Amino acid sequence: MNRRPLGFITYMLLAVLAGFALSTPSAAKAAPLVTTDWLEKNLGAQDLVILDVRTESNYGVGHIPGSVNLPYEQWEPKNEDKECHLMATAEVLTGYLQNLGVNASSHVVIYDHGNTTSDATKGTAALWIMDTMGHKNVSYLNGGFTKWTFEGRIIDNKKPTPAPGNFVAKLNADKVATLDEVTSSLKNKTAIFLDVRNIDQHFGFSKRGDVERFGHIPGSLAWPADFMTHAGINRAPAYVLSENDLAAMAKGVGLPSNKSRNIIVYCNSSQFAGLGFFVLQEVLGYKNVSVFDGSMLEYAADEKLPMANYSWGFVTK
Amino acid sequence: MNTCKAKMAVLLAAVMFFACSAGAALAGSNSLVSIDWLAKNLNKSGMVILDVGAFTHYEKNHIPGAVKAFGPWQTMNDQFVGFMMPKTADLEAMLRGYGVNNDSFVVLYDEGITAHDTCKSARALWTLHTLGHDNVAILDGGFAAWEQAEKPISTSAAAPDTGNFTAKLDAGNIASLADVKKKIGSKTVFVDNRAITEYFGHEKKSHIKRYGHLPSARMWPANYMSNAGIKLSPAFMKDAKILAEMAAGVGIPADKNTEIITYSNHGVQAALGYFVLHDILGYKNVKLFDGSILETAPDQSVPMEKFAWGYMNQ
Repeated sequence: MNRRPLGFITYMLLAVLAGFALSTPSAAKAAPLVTTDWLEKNLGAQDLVILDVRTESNYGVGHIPGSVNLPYEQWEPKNEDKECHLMATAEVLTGYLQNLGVNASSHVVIYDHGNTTSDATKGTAALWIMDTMGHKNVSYLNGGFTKWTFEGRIIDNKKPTPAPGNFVAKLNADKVATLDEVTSSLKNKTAIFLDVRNIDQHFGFSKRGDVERFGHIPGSLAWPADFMTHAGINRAPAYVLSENDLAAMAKGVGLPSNKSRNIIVYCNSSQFAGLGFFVLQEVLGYKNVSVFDGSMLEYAADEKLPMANYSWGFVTK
Repeated sequence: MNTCKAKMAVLLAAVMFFACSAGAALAGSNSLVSIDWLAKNLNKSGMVILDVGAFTHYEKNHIPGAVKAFGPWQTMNDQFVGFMMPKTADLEAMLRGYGVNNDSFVVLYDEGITAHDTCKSARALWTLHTLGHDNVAILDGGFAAWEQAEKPISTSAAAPDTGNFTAKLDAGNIASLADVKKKIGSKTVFVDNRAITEYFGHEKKSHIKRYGHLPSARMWPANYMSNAGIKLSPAFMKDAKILAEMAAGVGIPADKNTEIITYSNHGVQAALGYFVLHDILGYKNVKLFDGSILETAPDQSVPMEKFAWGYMNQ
């Protein structure tokens, strides 16, 4: 009986702590990279929106409990005029995200299939788009759905019906490089170009069938997105390398130590560039990073633009 | 009609003459020979054709007159690290067994499907060069190209007479681990012919002890030198013009007297690097690091770098 007051105090203390824990997600900018452990502990937290960017059919089979679905293809639809993929408009994204219950105050956690590096580029490209559209409280689930299920964590196939959110997307043009901006930056040497495609494509040894020409934007640095994750090594899911390893690589591929330099990341469609953006801005703290939205699909189609072939961009620049 | 026939005969004779003299010229200078050239010169005296592909391949079918030359072109060294060039006396006996004479023109070929197949021929070519025999060439496109061109194929094994080949070892063609240790950080240009993911240290073969590359090494993967697999092509070498562009593009100096050391995991891909630099592009001072990364990686006194392109430290 005389232990009751102590029990009551403990209870109150726990309640207060829980209150702090619950308020954390929306209180400050969340960690950009969250673990499966963290997410499991925070399932059901107030104003936490878990966003699955896998296909509708994958989502339908099973997903992280409480998550909502916006397939990657809808973030970066194909532009039929330019024959490349460009970010959906702010208006369209506002519609999608409000329907999924995203508030301006929400903590959004994005996850993808998490098996290959290509999977990881979808979630991180969605994060780049959220950031570009002005939502600053977004995290990426390291290792994605593959790590979640490898660890035997619970999944379900229930589709939540969230109350409409109030987030209004507003494009921050600084985060997106257009073809015009790319050509003028190239001419005036005002940006560092970072090619995150596979290295054979950078060299011009191979290319995608739908990319018109071989090679890279002259003088580009090369840091293949594949080198940024552990995907496939000893059957690992696509979890992102440690900050230490990524910092060593950034130096090793020739990126400047000055975090304010203007860096334009590109790949074939801008999907892989999403991972480059995430690593540079969110993990390494570069402040002036943008993604070339049209990337090689748009650039290579314009025969007038220079292309370097059979070389490493960092050797010939 | 008669004059016409006579003219034809003269023309034919002239063509034959040119064909033969072209053959002689090729024998002297060109170390990459075409399918058509070999088909025409198949029975020429002094010609020794060596099939360096897998022996199971030879037993199924091979170029008529070709000798099964599976090797060994490489053996474990005394310390049991590294697959190295065997002892000179052993190689001399092996090559005599293949019917190689001092005045032979040796044509090497392999399965011709992947770039790695060509690497095996290149390793045999480097070995012959190192033993002082320069009259050697690789068949461009290997057996796959030969078969695709519908040239004659044989299933009966050749039984050559023993040759009189005498080896004169040119040690200057080989870089040892001790040489490499001395030359890291000097003006010598190291060229890494492995896959880029191994160069960068993202992945490695499990029997290789450490990740990464030799400091400041240029990277030029052996498979970039070949058209193997591109639109189902056999392993034809890329044009000399493209290879020259690539050499500049990967940062190899234009000066043909530059000292270059090529390496890979086992010195096989490095042999294609040697062949392209030495024989196609005319670099005069190219060595192959025989022990390559297999021998280097366990020796902690040799620095290896990872997560970087070696160019950044120059």
